[in-house]
Amino acid sequence: DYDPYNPFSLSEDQGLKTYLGVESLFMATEIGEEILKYVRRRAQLVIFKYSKCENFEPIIPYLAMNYFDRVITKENCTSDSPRCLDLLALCCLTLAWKMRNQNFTIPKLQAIQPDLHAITRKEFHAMELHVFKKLEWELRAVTPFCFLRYFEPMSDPICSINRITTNKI
Amino acid sequence: MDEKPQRFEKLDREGIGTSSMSRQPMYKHLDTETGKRTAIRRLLLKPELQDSFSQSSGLPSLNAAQEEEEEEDYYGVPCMTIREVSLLKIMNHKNVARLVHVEPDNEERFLRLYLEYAGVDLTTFLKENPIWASDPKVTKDLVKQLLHGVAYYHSVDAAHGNLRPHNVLIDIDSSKENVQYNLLITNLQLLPDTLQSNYKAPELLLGSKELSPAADMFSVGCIFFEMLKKKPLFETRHDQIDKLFRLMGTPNEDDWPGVTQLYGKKLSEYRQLKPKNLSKSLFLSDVEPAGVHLLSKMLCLNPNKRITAADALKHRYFADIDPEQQFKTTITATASSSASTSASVIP
Repeated sequence: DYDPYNPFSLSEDQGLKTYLGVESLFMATEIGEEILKYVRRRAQLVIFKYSKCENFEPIIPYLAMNYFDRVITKENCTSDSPRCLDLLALCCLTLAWKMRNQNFTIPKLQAIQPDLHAITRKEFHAMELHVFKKLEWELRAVTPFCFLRYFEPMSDPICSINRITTNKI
Repeated sequence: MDEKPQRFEKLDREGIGTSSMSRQPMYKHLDTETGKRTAIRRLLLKPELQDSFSQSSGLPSLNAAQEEEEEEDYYGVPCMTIREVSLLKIMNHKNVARLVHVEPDNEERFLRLYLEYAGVDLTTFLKENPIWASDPKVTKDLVKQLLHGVAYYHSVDAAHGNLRPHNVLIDIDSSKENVQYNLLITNLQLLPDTLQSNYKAPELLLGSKELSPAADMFSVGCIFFEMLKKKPLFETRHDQIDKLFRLMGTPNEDDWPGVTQLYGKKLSEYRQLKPKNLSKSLFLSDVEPAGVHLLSKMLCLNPNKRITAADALKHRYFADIDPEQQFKTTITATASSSASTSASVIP
């Protein structure tokens, strides 16, 4: 099963080397343009708004932002409509959710967030596929969290948990 | 992928069987970028159909007309598809077929996964190379590679779920002095041949739906037997349980604690039988005792007691393989006799 803290299911001794080697593949190119910064902030708002739920897991919006950044820096979508960008952010969120929780479905999310009924099935479907294409199906993202287990023994466990939560915001 | 629409070329003369999903013949495809062969696996983008296929691998009960009608019934990409593809993306092992490319079809109704393909499948290999395949060293080498691949699957917390000779590919490299065999585990959904031989673990036959590493190991056991005797262990689907219990004994609380609670109702249909001597009843007298012992460990009815892939690799059956030579089986006398078959296989 998928563990975002160890996406390649590697043992502790192989992990460090591999993750250091491939980490850059999962990083977005630098966001320099002012407009992209604006777009990113908007996506953050969308993702956080809809990720609120009962069993909230901070890793889900984090993964979603990782997907979003990677997609947005690969294409020039500043000209796209705000609705399109919102949908992109939303689909990054649904995909991150599906990776993490097998029982997640879009209708379930719509039940909690009724305003999402404005988006049709076809739109969801097409956008999710678009995200896959841009990410080249590499959804098991290598994130800074993969390195946590190498630092954890060195620091106070409570301190490291605090860092996770601060990193989120 | 607008930039390279023609990356994969269909190799019309190299059919590999019939797809269990579309009922169309399947062909190998040439990857024009790398010159390597690939085979396509299709994953439906409609969740409810996906479920029915994964449960009845090889026996699709839905007809095409029904599928057409439910066109509007999908909702985003199904969870299992996402998980499966992203898992395949990270898999990297010399005995596991790599995922070369993924693309949706034009109507975005299913995904085409281009999986690495090399050589021939195990059934064809056994049929076309009777002499090589009868060499105990070759069998040992191949079983070991198979276990390495399966162990890799299990090490990334995945189970294959559909291990059968069709999904085991063998590439023969006779260009060097020592003939080399390279084994690849793939996962294609092909219709079984007319013989509906079965490789499913007893817990799955008794009603469990869980794909587990232990269930994979039972399939490895069936494949191991097939390599040894050149015929499937269970030739028909319907009486597999019956045959299995006659061989390994009907499971009881002593050797499989909890079995009555799990499958008691189904088990009551079968007579209580005692396990038999595997070597005698399967005519394995020509196989070394360590091999029979390993086979019995793989066919163990209780999934919790069944040997794991990692442990099987440490079994004494493999003790006499030189670790450096493990992928180089020396066959000099028989190399020429089958060279023609292998030549057509290697691109």
